[in-house]
Amino acid sequence: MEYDSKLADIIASLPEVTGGFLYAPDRGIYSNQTGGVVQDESLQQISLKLTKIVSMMSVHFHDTGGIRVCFRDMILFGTMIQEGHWLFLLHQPSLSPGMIKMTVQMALNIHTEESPEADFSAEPQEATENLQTNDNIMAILLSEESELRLPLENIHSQLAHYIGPVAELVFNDSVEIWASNNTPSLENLPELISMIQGEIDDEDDRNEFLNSLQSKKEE
Amino acid sequence: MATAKDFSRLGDIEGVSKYILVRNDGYVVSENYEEAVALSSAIVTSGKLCDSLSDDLEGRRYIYCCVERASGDNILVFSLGRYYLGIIKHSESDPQQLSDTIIGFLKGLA
Repeated sequence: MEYDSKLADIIASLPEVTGGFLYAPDRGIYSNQTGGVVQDESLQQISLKLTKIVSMMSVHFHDTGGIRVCFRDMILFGTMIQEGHWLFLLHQPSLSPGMIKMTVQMALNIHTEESPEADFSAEPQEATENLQTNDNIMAILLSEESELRLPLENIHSQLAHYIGPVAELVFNDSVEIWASNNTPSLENLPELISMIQGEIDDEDDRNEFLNSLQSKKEE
Repeated sequence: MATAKDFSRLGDIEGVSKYILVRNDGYVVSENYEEAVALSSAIVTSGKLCDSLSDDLEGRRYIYCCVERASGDNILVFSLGRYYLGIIKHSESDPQQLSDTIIGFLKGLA
């Protein structure tokens, strides 16, 4: 199934995610990637219970989305990925809700980009779709709950100090490439900085840029 | 023994927009939410379903459940023995921090 590989990607990209599964009411559990830790029958019950909770709450509140159930040693996160289909993840409590949400949304955005229809689309439409996807990525990375917001804003502002008005364009392009090659995370930030510093021609400025980021990091 | 009045202080906690304390039969014990009665059965059922997750997850007991909303005004559900506590948080408050505060408050009542 198409979402199988997306789920596997998410699990592989975040070490704190210990497993996941896919559920649809008409199919039951159709991908169990918990490494056999939890059996399909239990996952089926879990899915039924959690989707019922969201369904009940949605009667009262019309903007419900995902659900998180927190245990002492793990968190169970669920979100609807398409009509009736749910993706669930088991992860360690140390992983922030923002990072989980961002990773899942990015995985689903990548799915949109890679859809077979896109291969046959007219070029301008593809460009529009890509722009929208990039806007989504930036919005997610710079959202209030993203742990990357402050470091990225700092990189952006430091870059603007050295290369001026073109910084926004360079920054957005670099983040886009970085996000498509890596799972955006604090650990992978050095790769983005390495890409961006190459855009500063003057060697002294480049070194100052790197030093300013380093000193900010140490703060 | 905590009283309904003690729970009314939940409404003063920073990050709490609304709260509703419901007995497992659906009776609303304490609230500051005008639609508490309409929401009470959803809170009780959610709490009971979360309690029963321990059957599926090798006895693990949940701490709280959070139903996310686009507005950010997420709904948190806690089980307190025969009672269930529903919290609607302010969109700008951090859910993890808020849940820690709520748990601290509840422990203080015990």
